[in-house]
Amino acid sequence: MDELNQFKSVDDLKKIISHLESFAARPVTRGRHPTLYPEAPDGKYRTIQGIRIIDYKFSTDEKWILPDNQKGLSFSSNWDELKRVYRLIARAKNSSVDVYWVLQGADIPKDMAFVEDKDPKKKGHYFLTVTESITIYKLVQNLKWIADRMTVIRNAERAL
Amino acid sequence: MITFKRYPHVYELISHYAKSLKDNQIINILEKGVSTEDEAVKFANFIWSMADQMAIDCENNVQVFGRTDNSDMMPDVDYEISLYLSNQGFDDVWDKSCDEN
Repeated sequence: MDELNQFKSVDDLKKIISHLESFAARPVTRGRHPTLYPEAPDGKYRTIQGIRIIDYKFSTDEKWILPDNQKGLSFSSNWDELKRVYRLIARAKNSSVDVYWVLQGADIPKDMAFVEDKDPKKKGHYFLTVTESITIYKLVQNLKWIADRMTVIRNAERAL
Repeated sequence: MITFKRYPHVYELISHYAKSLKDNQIINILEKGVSTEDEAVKFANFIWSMADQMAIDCENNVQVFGRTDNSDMMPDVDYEISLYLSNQGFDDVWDKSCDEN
């Protein structure tokens, strides 16, 4: 594996990230999908086909995703946030955590876009939004498509 | 009561662990909010204790909200805690707790 795609410490990770421009990253427990969630049948974090209902604006019949430029899968593009999220995930499960990233300007499906959080206190936090109404099936396909094009920086040794 | 608008389940998660860890100060903070720096530090540090207990629960197959692994909620926790403490005027407390815990 390329040296630039693995890290042994948070400092290593910071060095790799510092070489990236306009990235959007998600730390993920190893073995988990980078853009889809495991099934959760109940609660506010309930999922439909791997998409949390809390992350997107659903139609009332829950078959469509409606456009909203402040709803979407969460991504970090600033180091402080990424480091905190990485450490929290690593602490909450004794397992390796890898970091998946993609360039914000990457070629993503035309009905999706990275949009920065409008809250001035959340600079560097991005949502992977939908820009037009699409079916949940299409969103799942889009998220899988994007996941396939994300680069993973692997935790070579659990870093805390 | 503290309200987390975007990810309201963060409140439920913290409340669950405050009760299971019998931390009355955190139960009180959830009810009344953070108003002093000491409370902000206590609240921030509790999140790391909660994460440790979540790992223990996960290893022991203890179900919380019907799931044994809730680590995928941690980005939501960071989002809400950093925003809440910042809005209360304690911008640096959460970042500092990350480095100290």
